Amino acid sequence: MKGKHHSKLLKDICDFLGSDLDSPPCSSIKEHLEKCKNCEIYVDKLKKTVALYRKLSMDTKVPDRVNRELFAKIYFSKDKDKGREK
Amino acid sequence: MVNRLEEDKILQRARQGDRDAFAELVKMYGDRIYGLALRMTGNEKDAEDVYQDTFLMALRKLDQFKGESSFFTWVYHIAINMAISKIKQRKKNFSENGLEDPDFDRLHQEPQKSWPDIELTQVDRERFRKKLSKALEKLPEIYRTVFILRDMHGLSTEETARILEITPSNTKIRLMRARNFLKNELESFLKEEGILL
Repeated sequence: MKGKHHSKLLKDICDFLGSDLDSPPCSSIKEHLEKCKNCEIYVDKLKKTVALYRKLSMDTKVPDRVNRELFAKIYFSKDKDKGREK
Repeated sequence: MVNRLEEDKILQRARQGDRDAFAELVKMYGDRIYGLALRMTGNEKDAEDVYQDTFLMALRKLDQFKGESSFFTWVYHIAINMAISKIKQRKKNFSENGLEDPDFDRLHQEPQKSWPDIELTQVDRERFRKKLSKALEKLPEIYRTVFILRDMHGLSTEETARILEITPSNTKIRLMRARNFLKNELESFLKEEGILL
């Protein structure tokens, strides 16, 4: 399969990446992937790329210094509010 | 992880001015908000500003939070808007620097080599993380924001489009180009590491 149709299908694959490929909107994509090795490999690479980035986003921690500053501001704003109430 | 009921109790205390309760909420969701800020702004200094300003704004506007969404969703949207403002202030690459569509024709002209399952033990973990971050930073902002919201944080196409004030079809195009760009970057790195031949 070549040309526009193929390109559109791959764009759809990109959109549905991560969705359940057994769901009805994905059935034509799934069917194509079963027949087309190059597309299957391409989609697999995209999936692995996304999975690695998801993992990266889950690993991030707030630096302690940044939290200390934030908590100081949170508690300081309470003191300021009290000051205004007086 | 606390459940919604426990979160509501903490929120109630925070609304009554209990700063310890608000600090608990920060501890619960801080890492995720900071991660979003870091990826969207692409640097630690801006991420720290976005992170702190987000929670300080949430504290100020806590009485306006009606509980129609979860507290996290509400704060998350504040953080996205803060990060977008920060990026726009810098005006760096926000509207230009287009990427091309993947060359789908070429994809079918030569046999594709598949990737193995990439175990983080195969590479220097810290160096790999830095490489992933660097590749993300290289993506022009208009693509990066879409990729972060859609793929790293799991927002829908429609929600991403609404937040970024672009059309859903534009969101899809940007996402496709972003994924393809990052895949290529990652492929180069894996070749350098000798994991791919």
